[in-house]
Amino acid sequence: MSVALEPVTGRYVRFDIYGRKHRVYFEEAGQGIPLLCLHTAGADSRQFRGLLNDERITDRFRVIAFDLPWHGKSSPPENWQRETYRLTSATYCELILSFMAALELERPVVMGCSIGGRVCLNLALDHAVKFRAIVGLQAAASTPRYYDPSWLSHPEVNGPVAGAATVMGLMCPESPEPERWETLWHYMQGGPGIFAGDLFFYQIEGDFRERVKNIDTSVTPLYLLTGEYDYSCSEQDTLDTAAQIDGANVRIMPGLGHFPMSENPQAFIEQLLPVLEVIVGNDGK
Amino acid sequence: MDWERFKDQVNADPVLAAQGAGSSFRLLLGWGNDQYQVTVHDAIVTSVKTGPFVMPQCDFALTGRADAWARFSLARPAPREQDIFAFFRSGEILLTGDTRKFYAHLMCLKLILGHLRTLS
Repeated sequence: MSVALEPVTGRYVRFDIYGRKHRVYFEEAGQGIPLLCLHTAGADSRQFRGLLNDERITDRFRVIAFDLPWHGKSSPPENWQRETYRLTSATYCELILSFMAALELERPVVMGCSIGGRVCLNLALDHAVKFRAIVGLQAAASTPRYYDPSWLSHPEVNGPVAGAATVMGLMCPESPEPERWETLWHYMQGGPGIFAGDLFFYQIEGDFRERVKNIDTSVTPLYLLTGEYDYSCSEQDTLDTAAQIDGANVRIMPGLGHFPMSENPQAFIEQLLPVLEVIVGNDGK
Repeated sequence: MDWERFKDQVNADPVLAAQGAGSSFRLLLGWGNDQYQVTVHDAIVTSVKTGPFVMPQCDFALTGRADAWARFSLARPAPREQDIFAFFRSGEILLTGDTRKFYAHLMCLKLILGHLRTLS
């Protein structure tokens, strides 16, 4: 029998956010500079399976990816049944900072995609000093609402399958089929109303167009990497955002879409490695 | 477009059979000045009727300029032209009709429309 044990370990951590107890699942691999990874709306940390298994990264970085509460294997807080889930920028930042405190992560590199990319801009604005570098994937200051996400939590619609169908075209058609369908599987396993609740932050509340000009990249370097096939956060959206931020580094990634780390991990890692080289080179300076 | 070949290819797709099972709907496709009524029963395309129609019946309609559909249907579409939602954002394709039914059968619909690409 052939057995392939991955170097990835998964654990739970418990901590309070705004006085409520949370049980949060995370996976990690590697050693070195902490690299904290934030998944997209309605998904979970499995999107970073490629990074967690790549020695070119884990030889120098401690890669950590956690499931937001209500997502993946993280539980919703007690009494979740009494409320409608809605992600906000304040809660999202608090979650990230609380997770960092719980794991005693000292100035990690933070890298988030989509909603994770958006909150990276929020972190750069309000908490930059707590990070070594900030890497926004598919990140822009806002996204116009071009479809109605309320149907994704409607009793007459299979929300997780409709969610997967909604996002399936955001990937590059030529990304490997197994990786694209793995990415969709994560969406199909989402909790009821969770994707739509995340989109509240992405499409409505988390609009930073008026604020991103205040990001100071001399405090913490900011990198924005965007896949060219993404029409939700298009390359123009990222370029428009970067144009307002002195010192922002932009890389448009050919042949990749909205889920670069999950839809085509190998192609994405080739794009990411030069950025990580610079971050390692700057470390301690 | 060879709609008979389209039907044959769609109905032989094992991904559609597995992921679209149970989906039944009537789509009106507005392709420039041309109209097509696509009927789907349990993820099988049972008919594609070519217009023009007088008062066509459908659950929902996708309407766009011919060049928008042509770009969507390219074997290798340009970046950000690989999905109908991309054309929703650009305003080049419009959804009308029963939005609930559109979302309920979206997986099946997108898998069917993907076959426009393999026939182009």
